[in-house]
Amino acid sequence: MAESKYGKYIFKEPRQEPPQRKPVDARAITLFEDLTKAIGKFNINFNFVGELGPHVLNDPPHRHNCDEILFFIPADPEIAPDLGGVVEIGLGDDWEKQTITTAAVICIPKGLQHCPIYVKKVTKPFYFGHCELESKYASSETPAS
Amino acid sequence: MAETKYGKYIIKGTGKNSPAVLEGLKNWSGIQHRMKWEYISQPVLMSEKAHSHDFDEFMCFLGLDPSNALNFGAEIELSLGEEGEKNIIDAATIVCIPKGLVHGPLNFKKIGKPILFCDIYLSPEYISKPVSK
Repeated sequence: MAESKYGKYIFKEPRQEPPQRKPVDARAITLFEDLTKAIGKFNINFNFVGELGPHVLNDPPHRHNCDEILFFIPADPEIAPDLGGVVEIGLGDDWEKQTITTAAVICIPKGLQHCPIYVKKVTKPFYFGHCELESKYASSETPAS
Repeated sequence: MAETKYGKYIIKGTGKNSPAVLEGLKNWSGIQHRMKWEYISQPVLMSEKAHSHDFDEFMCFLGLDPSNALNFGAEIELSLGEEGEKNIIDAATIVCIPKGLVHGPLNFKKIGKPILFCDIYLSPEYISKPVSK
């Protein structure tokens, strides 16, 4: 095939590796069904996640068939009960915005829609987590496997 | 500020070890499980006597570095069973205590780095049953 005169202007499948960013969260500890199968079934799953920087959590608005607690725990006892950050969470079908700036727990009764969760600001990393009364995490957006 | 519809579901911390108010909260929009947390920065003997209860309990121990919760610098001794088998916790850990399992004392023996101790239990009230000798 003849050398193209203008082919140099065309870039096929152009890609660049995404820039390295600081991690925005870090898995901490998790209670999941397989972990406890040797000792029995517990009607609960929970996790703790370190929140390190601003981001929107992956979870879209959803609801559960069981009760849940969401919690926000400052990781620096010197500033507690100040959270070390600002989080916005949508509650209810109308995404009523609630702002969390201190240690907090939120009860999510069965069926109550919640999320998105927007970690808007982190001045001191803190812990966030959920505690759901089912042996396996499941929601209207995430069926149990 | 206008009253919100869902603000009643949120309990915000007001004290150093908040929200301790969750403990003993008998009616919380029907939610039947509870949690509490505490920062442990020096050795302390907690829950001195062996006991059990009629609900499952989950004790969580983790470091205070959210970028690496496994960065753990403490040694805790937890006795389990009626025979008081001593177990050492020296890493980020979850202890599952099924209802009826005798446990305690819980002894935070060495605290090199402060840790977070979080207790989750499946009951609106924490009622302990002492071990009969």
